[in-house]
Amino acid sequence: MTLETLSQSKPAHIFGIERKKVITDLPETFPEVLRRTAELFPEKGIQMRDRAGRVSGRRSYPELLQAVKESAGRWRSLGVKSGDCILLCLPTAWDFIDAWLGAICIGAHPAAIASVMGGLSASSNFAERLEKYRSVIDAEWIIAGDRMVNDLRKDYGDTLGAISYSTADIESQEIGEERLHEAKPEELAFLQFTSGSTGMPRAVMISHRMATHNAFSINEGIGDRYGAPADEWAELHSAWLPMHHDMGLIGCLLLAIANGIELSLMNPTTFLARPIKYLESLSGKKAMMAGPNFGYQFCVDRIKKENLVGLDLSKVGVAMTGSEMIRPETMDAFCNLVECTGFTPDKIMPCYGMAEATLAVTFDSNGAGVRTHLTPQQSGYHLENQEVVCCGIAVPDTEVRIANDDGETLQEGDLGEILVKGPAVFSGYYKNAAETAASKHGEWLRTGDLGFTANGELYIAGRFKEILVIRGDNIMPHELEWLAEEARGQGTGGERIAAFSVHRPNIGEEIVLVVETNESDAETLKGLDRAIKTRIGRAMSLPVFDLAFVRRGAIPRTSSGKIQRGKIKEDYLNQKVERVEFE
Amino acid sequence: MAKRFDQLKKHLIVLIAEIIVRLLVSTYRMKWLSGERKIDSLDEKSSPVIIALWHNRIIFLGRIIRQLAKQKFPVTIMISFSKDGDLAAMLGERLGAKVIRGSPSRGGTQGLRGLYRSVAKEGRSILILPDGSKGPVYEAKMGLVVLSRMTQAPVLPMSCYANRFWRVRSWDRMIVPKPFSKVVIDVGEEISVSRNAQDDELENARLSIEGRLNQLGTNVEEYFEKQDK
Amino acid sequence: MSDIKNSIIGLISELANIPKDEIKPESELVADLGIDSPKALQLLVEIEDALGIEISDENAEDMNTVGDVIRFCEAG
Repeated sequence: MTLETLSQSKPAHIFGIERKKVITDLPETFPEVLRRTAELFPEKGIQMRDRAGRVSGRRSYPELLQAVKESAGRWRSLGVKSGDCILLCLPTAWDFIDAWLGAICIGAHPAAIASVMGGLSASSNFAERLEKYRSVIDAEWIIAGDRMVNDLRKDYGDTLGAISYSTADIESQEIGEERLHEAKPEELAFLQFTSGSTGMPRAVMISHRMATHNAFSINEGIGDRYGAPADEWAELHSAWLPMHHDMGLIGCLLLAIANGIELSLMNPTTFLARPIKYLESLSGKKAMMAGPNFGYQFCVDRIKKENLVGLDLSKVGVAMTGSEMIRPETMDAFCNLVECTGFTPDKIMPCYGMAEATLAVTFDSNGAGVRTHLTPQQSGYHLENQEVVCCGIAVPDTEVRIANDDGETLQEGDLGEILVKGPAVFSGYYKNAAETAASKHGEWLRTGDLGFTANGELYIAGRFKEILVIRGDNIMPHELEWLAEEARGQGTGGERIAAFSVHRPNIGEEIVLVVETNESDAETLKGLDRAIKTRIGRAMSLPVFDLAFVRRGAIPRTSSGKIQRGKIKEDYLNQKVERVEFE
Repeated sequence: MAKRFDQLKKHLIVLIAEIIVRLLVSTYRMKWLSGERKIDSLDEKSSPVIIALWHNRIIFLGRIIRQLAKQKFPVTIMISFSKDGDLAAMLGERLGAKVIRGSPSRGGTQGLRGLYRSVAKEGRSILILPDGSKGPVYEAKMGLVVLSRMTQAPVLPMSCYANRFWRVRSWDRMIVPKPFSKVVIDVGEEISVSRNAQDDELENARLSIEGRLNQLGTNVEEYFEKQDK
Repeated sequence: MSDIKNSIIGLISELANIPKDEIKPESELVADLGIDSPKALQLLVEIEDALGIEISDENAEDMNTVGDVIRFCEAG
């Protein structure tokens, strides 16, 4: 904003109150939700798929309720008490669902983490990471797969600060008292790990009310687009996301359970091995799909058009994309890929959310697929020509606004930090007052995301804290990463790129790129190096100070698969980045 | 028809804005901590300078443009390309400045060259908001330093503050002094950039411009704090 | 080697702080030589002054490599 202000008549903008429907008269705790769904939707349930993508088992919601009661009984026999914290390290399977819901329903607090870390089970690295997560929530219990626990007991029995149990141990427990703990809505239900861009994980406290409200909100949010909530038309919600991922846990599992929608669960490794299996699960059904941008890009990279013959995605009702920056190019490419199956681009529904708000914050309810807007023209954020995706308006009962550093609301079109307030916004990180205080402005959550509004709808421009400031100019890291990716090509899929800046004395901040690659040939790498630098040089008029090629997997990811720019920068500065040399 | 109406509306808005700005700045009671004579002595014969102040002090820009226009000291300002920028540009011209369109950031070569020509070919001076048009707040862009090096015009940093003002809810919390408020202005030492400056010297110059502007900001704010005591 | 080519490479060498013999016509101004937009301003102004020509903003935008700059100046 400059002198321009004088001509702006629009008031400071708070939006999200436009939605008429407000969540009322719905259960606010896990036990109530489970009983209601079992009663109202007895014919619906959860399907589990095997490695080949076939349905290997199914439970109706009344059966799920019974399983949860038994699980609660087993937890009690094991000695778990109300208020205990449990680290759950299990793959997508019945074990996980039973354990997670059962624990919540006796008043204990489960926290899910990835069941496979770095591709190995009980390596020393694994025990170390397990202990890191455990210590954050001071968990009394660790539950993991049978083999993993055996290895842990053998090698690290005394060094882990909790009692570890395998699923077999739990299975063998007598079923004790099956009663479900009737929680108050504001009571803590479970913990959700998030990783900041650096260092230690943090555990978001999610109450019964937050979780249930958000699950009902998502159902309504999808409804705004189709004239009816998802539960009234969806025949199937199909998920591949891991259960420790907030979009997998809330956006898939809890969404389906709370609203009585049939759910198909696929292990993420199945999706990563053969993404076509996921699309096959949707064929011929009024289905819902969900995933981050990465998942859609992965389909584009790995699935050939000829493999789609016979697939019918014409009835798919909605394809949610969120939880990381949405690339219009990716969504376009995905739509092109599956066009032959009858899938139409208007089904794409961009979403915005984060664990600190349970999950969903805004939805694009317009029903017109991916809509983009150029970031504000007058901006000095080095974003002038960038198209960013519309993420729509806030979910019911939730407010979103754009604010400056002091938390004051900015006008429409101004770039600033996105703040969120509502019933699903967290009260804090578990036992971490400092991080909690830093993430709040009064009752508003400071998301750390940079955004703006246009026509009352939200657009995300990037991560606030990760902006590069080069000679006084703002540059978004993902913009550099995307340009680099265009120049590098997709590779075999899944290779990431991270951009950040380093300080050079007397010179200022300079751009560094870390690029994952499977190439080893010196000439090829030299060519890639030049192609990437040229692409960025021409597009942004910015020289790249250093480009480091690394092996796939060298860039640290968060538990939900987002790259950790802060962490790789730290590694880089400590010269811990293992380069693939080519000169 | 609609287009002509839009044009008319634009002119009207600019006219009203001009009246407001002129009226507003004429009510201020000015107090110079230093540099009053330096600014007062600028006229058509003075050699060009680059006057820099932080973006959130933009309303003082109107005040300074008015004063310098009266002293026949020719100045140029740069305003970004945008719909709102169009209005700002018209307003800037009405207040008496030459306006160049462009942005100091990416693809900013065009705007910078315009400013350069303004100084080098026409002998005009520049009024610049080094952290504009969108921040980051209080970070000077390198373009300003390079401009100074190329033209050999020194950078004259200044800052201002008022005893009573509104804070606009903008990215940089713009300050608008209320009518009849007391406005304090401080002008800092000139910063010159050597024609042969290397990268590190340019960065040092950029940092010292930032530092001096922030120091001036503290000076004028402390003036009122001392008054209160 | 033409005089124009020589003097342009000289200018760029000074600006980019890179030896003349490492500056090739195919060198990218930004990616290879680190000429960011403030430096581009200096380059354009110094070329205009040295050769007594005008480089329009559109022409400037088309210059990506050292060769692009040389070709434009030799033609002008």
